[in-house]
Amino acid sequence: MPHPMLRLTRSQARTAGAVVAAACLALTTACGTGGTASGKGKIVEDAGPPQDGGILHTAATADAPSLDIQKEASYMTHVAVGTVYSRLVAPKTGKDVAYGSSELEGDLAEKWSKSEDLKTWTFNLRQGVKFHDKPPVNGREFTSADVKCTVDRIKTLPGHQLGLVAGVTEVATPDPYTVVFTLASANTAFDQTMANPFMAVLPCEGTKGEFNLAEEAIGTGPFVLKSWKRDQERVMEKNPDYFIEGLPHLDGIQTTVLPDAQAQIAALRSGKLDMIASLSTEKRQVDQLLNQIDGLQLRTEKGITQTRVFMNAEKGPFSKLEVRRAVAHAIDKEGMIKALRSGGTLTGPISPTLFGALPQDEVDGLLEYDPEKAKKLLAEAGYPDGFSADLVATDGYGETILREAQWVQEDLAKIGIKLTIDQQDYATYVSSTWPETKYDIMYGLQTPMLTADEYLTSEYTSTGTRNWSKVDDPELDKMVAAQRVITDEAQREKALQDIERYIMENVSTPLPLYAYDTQTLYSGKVHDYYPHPDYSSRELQDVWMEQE
Amino acid sequence: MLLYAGRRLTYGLLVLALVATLVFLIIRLIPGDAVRLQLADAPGVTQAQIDQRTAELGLDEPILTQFGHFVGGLAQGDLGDSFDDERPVTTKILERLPATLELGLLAILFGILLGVPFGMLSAIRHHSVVDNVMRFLAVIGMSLPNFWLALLLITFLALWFGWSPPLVYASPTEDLGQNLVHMALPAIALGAATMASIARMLRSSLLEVLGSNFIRTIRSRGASERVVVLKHAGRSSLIPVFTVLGLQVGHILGGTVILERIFAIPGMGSLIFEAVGQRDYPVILGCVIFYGAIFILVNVVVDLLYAVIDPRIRYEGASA
Repeated sequence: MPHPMLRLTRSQARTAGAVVAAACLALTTACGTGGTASGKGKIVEDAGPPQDGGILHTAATADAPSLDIQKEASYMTHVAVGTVYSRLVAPKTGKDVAYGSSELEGDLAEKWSKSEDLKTWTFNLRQGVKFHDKPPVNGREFTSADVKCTVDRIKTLPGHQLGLVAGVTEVATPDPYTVVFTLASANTAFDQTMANPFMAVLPCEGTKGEFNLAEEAIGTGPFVLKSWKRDQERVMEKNPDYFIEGLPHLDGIQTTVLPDAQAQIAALRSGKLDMIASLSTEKRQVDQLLNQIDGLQLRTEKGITQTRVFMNAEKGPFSKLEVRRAVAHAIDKEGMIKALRSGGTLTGPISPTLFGALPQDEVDGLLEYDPEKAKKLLAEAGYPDGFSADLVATDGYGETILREAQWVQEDLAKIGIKLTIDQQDYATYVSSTWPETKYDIMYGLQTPMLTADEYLTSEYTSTGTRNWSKVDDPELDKMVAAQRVITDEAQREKALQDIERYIMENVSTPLPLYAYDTQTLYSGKVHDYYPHPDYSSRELQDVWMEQE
Repeated sequence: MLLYAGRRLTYGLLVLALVATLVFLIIRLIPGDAVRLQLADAPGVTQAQIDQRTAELGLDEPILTQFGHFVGGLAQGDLGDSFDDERPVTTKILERLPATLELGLLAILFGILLGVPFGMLSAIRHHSVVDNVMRFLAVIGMSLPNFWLALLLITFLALWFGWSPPLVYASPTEDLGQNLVHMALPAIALGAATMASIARMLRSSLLEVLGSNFIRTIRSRGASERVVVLKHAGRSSLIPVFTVLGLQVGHILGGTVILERIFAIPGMGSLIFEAVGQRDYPVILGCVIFYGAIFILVNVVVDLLYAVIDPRIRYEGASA
């Protein structure tokens, strides 16, 4: 039986190599055309009165694992069906509202009030609100009973969303348009809790299992889920009976799942996509797109995702506080932001936009780039000549993170800490290395949390559910527990800031470096897009598109 | 011939069993934990919940017991249920298989339709400009990684012509036109290497045959060049091409994994990609078994085709 061998002579192989190199060169030159993006990407603020109609085409890099907005902790679920549901109250968004502001407005609630002891919260609901006209709910009116069903259901679910309503001892519904929450202890910001995207109000039919919440979403929100092809597309249609007069402007939203960034960019170029959200973010590539696509708008927001250096506080050289402090001072964060990101803000454990964050100048001071000081600290720790270790990082967050890891590697080499980068696949990183603390030092991200307490409790207390740097500081445990019961706002802010300062000076792991700016690119015909970092996508109700 | 085919298939099954065993062990050896990947996103998850889920998935049992379950199921044609959505693996794969088969077939078709004429032209006009250009193209086709070629195509078609593939995949029964437009780029990217291999192989084997004694005899009897190349030389030089094709099926199947991902095609390739990311062991194993089976089957068929193309070839055990 003949089985001839495939032959490639040496000269042919060499040609092949040269061809690849030439093609690479062609690619970079072609992609590198154009100068800076100055003046490009400007957002059109005064596009005139909103016009109705049009389908907004957008893309997601991954689909929601399920549509169950309360069972599923993934933000991808919230992005997917956030516009289907409404909450009692919601963060305000709009032209004059700062990004990430915690200012609230009524959503399903018209107004709300708290008792003097802060233990009873009363919400007065809008009347005549209709659920989407889909079986088995069939467009019936929304009432206070649905709120009770929703909260009762959350209490039966695992996961941290339970923590949001754990303090609720009773949900009373004296009439169809009033809900009264009784809390076990005083809570000054229970309305903020109810604005959490997990607090989407479901119809009782859903909580009772008359339809499958994992595969169907029926709410009172601005858009109706028309179809969902898992891992392919989600199609939203305008809710004709939406309770806010005149909204939404769009006829619908079509979201395509396109895992590949290049495919998304190509679709934006060809006009098949109107918006690429939260592209996290290769500065160079964004500049190129702005040069190449006429009228393309770029929205840059202060992000809340922290870049982190995780250090093992339990064993190895980084278990010494001085070493961790040295790392904090050895890295040139401003340089990193300038070279690798389109912008960013230095941050302590509490992201700068959140209540309780330290004033910016203090954070900048505590994280100051000072290699001399770092060297001194390293010597104090008993490592005057430095040491060697492995730096874990993953490609699961994209290229930029790996470049940042290299930057950290170079900066730490300057003070004598010689790191070898151990690049891992995302699944290994996120399900083994990180939670099982199988690292000495690691570089990566932290999915943003929405309150200061969430960060502090889960990551920095000895029993925290995400204490994966093995922090064990009884003093800190006490401080974190104490701030939770302070009712006076000013006092609580001070307590939170004290904790943050304490962590930066005495714990220093996980060590946040900065929250990088996020970017959204959208076509010139899309207007009034004022996002909020809570992933609910509610702001899409105000978006409109120029009609031809 | 039947006996031969039976024996090859039996060997194929053995190889498949070995592959399945190996993959079964390897995916459990690489770090990463299916349960944590499912639950870890929720900060409030307790160890008890993790343990419970581990038990539900049967991952708390010793590896040998797990393997026993797997083999037991396999013997009954049951590949188990996906860790992710708990649907039967076989169902999930069969849903995704058509898209992958279509993409693979289109890629092979592209490879043959361009590779055969290129190879013939090269051989007939060897050492001419045409030959050099063809050989140059073939080397490029073989050297470019398919995913990179795909990214180049996507990027430059959008940049130069403002064109990009359709966003949403439509099956051929839903919308054949859109389906083919969607499949075109990945099929070209995937088929480029096949095209190149076929062209190169056909060129060299055709040249060899054209220089052989029997062709000289045929020529001396006054046969036209056309008859010589197409009828006499072409046929006997096809055998190595088929061998190449059989091996290329492996490359093409492997390529579907990344290309389906890039082009958002819901096939078996994107399924195994997601499954690896989720450490969804049953799905990974199921996909590997399907991929392996396709590859083995294709190569058995290729071997059997040798005798059809060239009647001089007889397999042991067959009567002469």
